[in-house]
Amino acid sequence: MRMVLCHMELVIIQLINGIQLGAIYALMALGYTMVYGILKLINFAHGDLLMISAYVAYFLVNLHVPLPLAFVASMATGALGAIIMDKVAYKPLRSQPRLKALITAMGVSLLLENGCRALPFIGPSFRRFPDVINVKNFSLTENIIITNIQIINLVMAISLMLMLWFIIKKTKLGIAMRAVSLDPKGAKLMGVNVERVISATFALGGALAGAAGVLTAITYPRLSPYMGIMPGLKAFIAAVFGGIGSIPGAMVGGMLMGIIETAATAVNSQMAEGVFFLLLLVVLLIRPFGLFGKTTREKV
Amino acid sequence: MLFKVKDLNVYYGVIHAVQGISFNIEAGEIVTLLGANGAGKTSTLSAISNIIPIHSGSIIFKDQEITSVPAHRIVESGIGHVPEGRHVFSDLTVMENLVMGAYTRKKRSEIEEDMDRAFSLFPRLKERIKQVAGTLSGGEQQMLVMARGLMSRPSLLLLDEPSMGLAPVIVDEVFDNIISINRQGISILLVEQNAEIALSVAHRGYVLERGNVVLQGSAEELLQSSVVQEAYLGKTIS
Repeated sequence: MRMVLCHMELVIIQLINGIQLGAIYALMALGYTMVYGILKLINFAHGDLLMISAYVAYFLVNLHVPLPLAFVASMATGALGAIIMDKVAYKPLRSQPRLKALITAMGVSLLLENGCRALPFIGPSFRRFPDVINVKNFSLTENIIITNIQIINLVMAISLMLMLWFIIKKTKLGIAMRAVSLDPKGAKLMGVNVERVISATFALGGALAGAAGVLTAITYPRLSPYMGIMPGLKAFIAAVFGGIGSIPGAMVGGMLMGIIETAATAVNSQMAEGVFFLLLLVVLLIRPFGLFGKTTREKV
Repeated sequence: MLFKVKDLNVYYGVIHAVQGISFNIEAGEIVTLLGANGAGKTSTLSAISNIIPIHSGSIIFKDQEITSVPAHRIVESGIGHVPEGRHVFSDLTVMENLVMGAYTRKKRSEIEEDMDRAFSLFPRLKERIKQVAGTLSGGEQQMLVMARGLMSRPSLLLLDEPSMGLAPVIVDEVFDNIISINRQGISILLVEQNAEIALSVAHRGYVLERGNVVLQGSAEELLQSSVVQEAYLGKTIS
């Protein structure tokens, strides 16, 4: 009996850790999936928005700006960064074959990472994000402890996702975003300024990446110009896992990614990522368009 | 004169799809452009809405030159465009499709008024208000795109092949709707391959062949003309 309880507790602890990590992946995956939905472009530089936003929060917090304010500023940076990225790098290639934009996205990513590395006030070495939050532990049971940072992560991520859900489902902008992703020409005939909707899509995705940047920084407080690569890559895979182009798919895919990665790490830290990729392969074999992806196309 | 096209030239890639056509529409009229596949009908409509570039020529609407007005502003100026092939936003609900139709409008009360008007014209849409548009029948989708086109409160409505792929009984229903829309004071430019049904509702018409206007006149004149009878009504002149 005692053994069973221990296992149960271990599972719950890992589940909490997994959901917390998954929340960050989900925020990032949403950016990939929204931009893909509207432009059919994988924005490989999306992960670097996380990095830039984390640095913005780092500098602001060091200047004694309160964390909530820094959080908002980082989200704004993410949004603005994404819009600029689109206008400078992707918009000129709009009518070109998609492969060119895809390769450009990789270029933008390398430029941002190495550009930041070269900047004197960022540099190649790790920086420690200041401990602005005093870690407090809350014991749920004797052995299950949840920290206030984990709670912040979850509450922020979930409320941002609910806000996004509301925007996409209920607002005119959200309906226009879905309309543009279904039929850009048809949306133009409705009087939609398609370029503006594309900018808004990048902005929303960028703001979520900004939030993910700060959440990453307070949870894993080591900043480097390359810190966006792995979360970006994993979030991209999570988006594919959930069905790229699908908003609920990105949320569920991100959460599952976090949970599976944490669980696999608990069993054997060497094979954590391998397990997820294996599962991705299996899912894509059974459902090639991902968990929530469309399996059939409407008749045209 | 509500609307006037003069010497319009449109290239579709290397193809000279519209070769200097001219036509006009008076306020309150239904005017039809007839012609076979590839005659340049859809290209003409796309050029009016500025979703494909115009090579040369002028398009004048309410005494304003609109040739270089961007696509998203054409709707605001009062031209609604109902594309061919029933292009509903398939994953959006009927309601959301109508909201998209009213995209350029601000006043909520007016939009609700127009929605009620659309539902009185197309009662079947009201029953399906929360249904995803892609799951509607062909006839219902055609009604939805027309209702959506009306949501911008156009004074001129461009209708591209509304009869395409619909059962004859549904076609009749759709063309009854076209007359009802026209009676509300909305002028209509109707593009059709089905000359018989188009000329049954239109006041005047133009016949296009390979990007040129080859014949024009009142609906009666066109119905009697040998060109239309032979080429579009399948009658042989004895």
